[in-house]
Amino acid sequence: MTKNSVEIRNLDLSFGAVKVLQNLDLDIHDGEFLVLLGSSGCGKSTLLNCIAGLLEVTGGQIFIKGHNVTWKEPNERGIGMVFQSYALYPQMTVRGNLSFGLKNARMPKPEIEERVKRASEILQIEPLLDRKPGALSGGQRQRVAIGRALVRDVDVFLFDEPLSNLDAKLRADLRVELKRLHEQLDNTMIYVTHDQVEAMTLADRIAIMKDGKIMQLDSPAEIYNRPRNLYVAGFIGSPAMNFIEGNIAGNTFTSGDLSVPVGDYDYMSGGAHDGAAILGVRPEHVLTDDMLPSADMTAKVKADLVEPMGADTLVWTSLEGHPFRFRMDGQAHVKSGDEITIGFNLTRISLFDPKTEDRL
Amino acid sequence: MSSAEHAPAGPDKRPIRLFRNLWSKIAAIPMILVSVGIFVGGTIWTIVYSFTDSGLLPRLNWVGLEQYERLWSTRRWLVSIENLAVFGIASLILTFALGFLLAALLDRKIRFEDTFRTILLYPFALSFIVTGLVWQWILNPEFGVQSIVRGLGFESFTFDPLYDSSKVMIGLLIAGLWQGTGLIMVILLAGLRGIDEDIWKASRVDGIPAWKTYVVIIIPMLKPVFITALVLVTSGIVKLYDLVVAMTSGGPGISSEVPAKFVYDTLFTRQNLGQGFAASTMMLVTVAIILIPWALLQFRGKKND
Amino acid sequence: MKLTTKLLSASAIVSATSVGAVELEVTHWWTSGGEAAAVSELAKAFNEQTDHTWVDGAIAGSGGTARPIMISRITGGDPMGATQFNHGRQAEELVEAGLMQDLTEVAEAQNWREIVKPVSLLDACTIDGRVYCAPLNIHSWQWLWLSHDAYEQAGVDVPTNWDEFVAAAPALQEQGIVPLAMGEQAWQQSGAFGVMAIALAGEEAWRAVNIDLDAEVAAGPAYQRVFEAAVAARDLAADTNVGDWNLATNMVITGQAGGQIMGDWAQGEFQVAGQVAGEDYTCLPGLGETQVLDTGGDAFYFPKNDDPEITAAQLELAALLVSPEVQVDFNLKKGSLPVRGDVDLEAANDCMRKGLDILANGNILPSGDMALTPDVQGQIEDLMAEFWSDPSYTAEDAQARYADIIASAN
Repeated sequence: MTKNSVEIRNLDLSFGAVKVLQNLDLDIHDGEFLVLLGSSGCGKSTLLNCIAGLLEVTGGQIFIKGHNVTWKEPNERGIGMVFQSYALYPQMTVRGNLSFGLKNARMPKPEIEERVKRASEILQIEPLLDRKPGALSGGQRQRVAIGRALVRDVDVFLFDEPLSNLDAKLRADLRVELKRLHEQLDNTMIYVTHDQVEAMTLADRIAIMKDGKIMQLDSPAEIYNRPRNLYVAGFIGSPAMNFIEGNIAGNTFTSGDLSVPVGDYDYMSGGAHDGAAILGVRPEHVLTDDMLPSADMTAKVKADLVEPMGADTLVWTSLEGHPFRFRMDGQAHVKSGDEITIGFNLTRISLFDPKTEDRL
Repeated sequence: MSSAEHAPAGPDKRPIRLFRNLWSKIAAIPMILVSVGIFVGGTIWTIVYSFTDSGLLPRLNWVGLEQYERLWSTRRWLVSIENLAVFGIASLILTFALGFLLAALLDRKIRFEDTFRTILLYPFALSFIVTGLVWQWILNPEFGVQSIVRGLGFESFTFDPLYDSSKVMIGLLIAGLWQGTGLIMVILLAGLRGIDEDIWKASRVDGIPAWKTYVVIIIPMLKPVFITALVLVTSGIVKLYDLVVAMTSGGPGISSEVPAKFVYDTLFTRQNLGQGFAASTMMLVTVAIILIPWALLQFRGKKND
Repeated sequence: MKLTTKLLSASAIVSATSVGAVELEVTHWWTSGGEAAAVSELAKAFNEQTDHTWVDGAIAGSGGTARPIMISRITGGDPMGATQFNHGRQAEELVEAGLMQDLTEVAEAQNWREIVKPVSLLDACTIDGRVYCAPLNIHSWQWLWLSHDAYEQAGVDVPTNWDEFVAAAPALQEQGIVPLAMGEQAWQQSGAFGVMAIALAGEEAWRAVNIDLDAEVAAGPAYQRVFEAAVAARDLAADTNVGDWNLATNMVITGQAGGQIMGDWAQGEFQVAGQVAGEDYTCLPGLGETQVLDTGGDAFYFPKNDDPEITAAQLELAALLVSPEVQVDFNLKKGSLPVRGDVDLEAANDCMRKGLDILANGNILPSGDMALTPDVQGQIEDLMAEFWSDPSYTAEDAQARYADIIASAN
């Protein structure tokens, strides 16, 4: 029990007839950085608001640090929260923003000062303490918002897309700072985002959500390498994984003229599979040119479109009637219309059952 | 605009600033003429003639401050000013208190919000004359509230504010609030709707009670909305005329007279332009006394922010 | 409808036959049933007896509403052909500003100074020896209307003067009857006070105050009696809870009130209710104290016009208004008294005859409209409004304020 910071049991939430969360279970370990990832409308923010106590659940229970907080007020749950729009109190100075909640809880003044000092040191916002939010940049505002959660001295931090309102450069900077902050504080952090880069870089574990359900809860590497189902496979990675529909018969996947030996494939269920299947290959796992000799199999394709991106080049083509993308080295000389030989390693492919959409 | 920019003077000559956006300036001329000519000109004319003994027709026969001396020794004028002050302060406070309370209630995402909003805003669609007549009936002791309550068995119940000079302003206030609160509510509700929902969440996480969030955080955030509403309400109060005419005609006696009615009666019924102009000048001065410090405060506040 | 048809046919005939015919717009505020009927008599006479056409410009609402509209049209350069005012000082400044047509020619030709009775009506139209308006009718304020029914209920005789009226009040109050009905409007309260002033202070003191503007008399003992009586009347009227004068009159008609001080126009209400003077109600001119009537009323003014044809038509209308036939037809419908003593009103009732007798005896006064400017009248109305609505307002305070107003009047 003590190993888990937050436990969610059979959580249901519906607005009228619309079920937003259904029978959801989730354990979040102590000191873990958990990212709730999904496209908009998947229920990730709703789940976060339920944990925070900002939404009343329809059924199920929420435990924080072993206490049942399902019906507790947000401020009694031992959480701090940071919002996408910062939600700073505009008429108060930064100091006022940080201390308002503590003052309201009748905390002794010296302790408030101590906490504000500590938080502002950590976040390096001491010079800003007497300014009003209107006079701060977006990044500074978000730091103040984090500070407001920090002074609460809580076990669990909740972040609701905190970086979405910032421009790309600031977002990258603050992302790193958040990661550093987590390492420094070692608190439990639950972080909602739709940005898979943020999720991959920050998370200890990622929970990918769709339609109010968790599709996969795993480490970033596991999610990337062994997506549990078609949705996760397509959602993670940019550009998305290539899918080729075909058949497995006798350890060989065939789709038109393409045949791939899958005898060495690491089946999740252990046993081999016969019948309809979908083969998935990430664009960056497709081998070309001098890497070809290590490939387990090869095929020839014609480049339809070439997108040089500097570090690498993205080639759009089709394979057995399925759209197919792959990455080449940035220095590769390819133009559309060229014929290219590609290949891939069987250790890096994924196979899915087209009926259940689950990984084979 | 284009004609000014492509003038034959050539690109090396700086365009004359006056001719920039020439057409929009030309389009604004009628408006400028109207406001300067009619508003400013009319104001100056009124002030000038308030120092004459003009009767039915304006004539430049100077009498110095005589009109003002007479004005400030006229009981009806003093009563009017006092009534306006009482009505103004009470109606400002109550309109905002009630309007905000209703707006906050509606903002709590209650059921049938649209219905309530329509009901509460509906009186605003009525003119003050209609409002006045409606409330004159409701407050009439023979037909209205008093007779209904008495009909229920409370024989000694008395509620006839329009017939009691010490309570008549309360009667006017009730009608004024009924008419005006809906508008303020809608304006404030629009303001509340504009508040980022995350602010509410943040204050809940901070453990701030809802009332305190309203007072300390939300209301300060609504300052521009409040100022808009304040201007609307205040101008309505200073202009207060038709409600009084419809409900009490200034009675009983002169106990519900207001400055605007004094000005109208003096100018048109009593054929005393000089006196009427003096009274309207005093109204202008009163408004200026309220507005100028406020405008300065606003202006300075802007600089500081 | 009938009127319109007549007007249309009349104008058709006129325009077909005459070259100098004009359409003359006449503005007035006579819009109630009896008033409109009276106006149609004027229109009929004008259309039939002259080549011109009467264009009716009635303005709804009271004189207080209509007069500013009329004045702004005259001063604004859009004059009508002719317009109603109460004769007196309402149009004084318009005349002084040279905006009104001089009618002296007509007045002299028709010998108005001989025929207009009382001649004060003509004086009210005369400024610097020139005549500027044609008097049309006489209305007087000095009437106390008494309900026979109310006094019967109380078991006392119908009073014959003010003192008896006051003495009978307690008996009425015992029966739950309001002794004096008084509409809570300033003009009614001020008018009633004026009536009491003439009746109780006497003609001489009244003239000193209202015509010579003698503030000492206004502050003196004669008026002290008036204000004390007004305090008493205020107590008698304390239970009246109505505004409009006709509602107060209705209290008298239905026996809810003993009496009302109101001008002769109240008579129309009694007639409409089917009551008969002398049987169902009694009227006491001058409160039964001083048999004197003021002689306010309506007159027509003719704004100056550039078009000589219109000017000619204006003079024709002015002459027509004072003619005996028009005087009889109009005033019978209107319920007012004619401005000339040489016409016979056979249809007049008991109360009207009383008034005619007083006029014939020459016991007349100019009306407040003639004596005082609207400004001064307005100040007195304010004072009266406050005085009548506030039981703590003493007679001394009111008299002192009244004297101040008279002192500053011009």
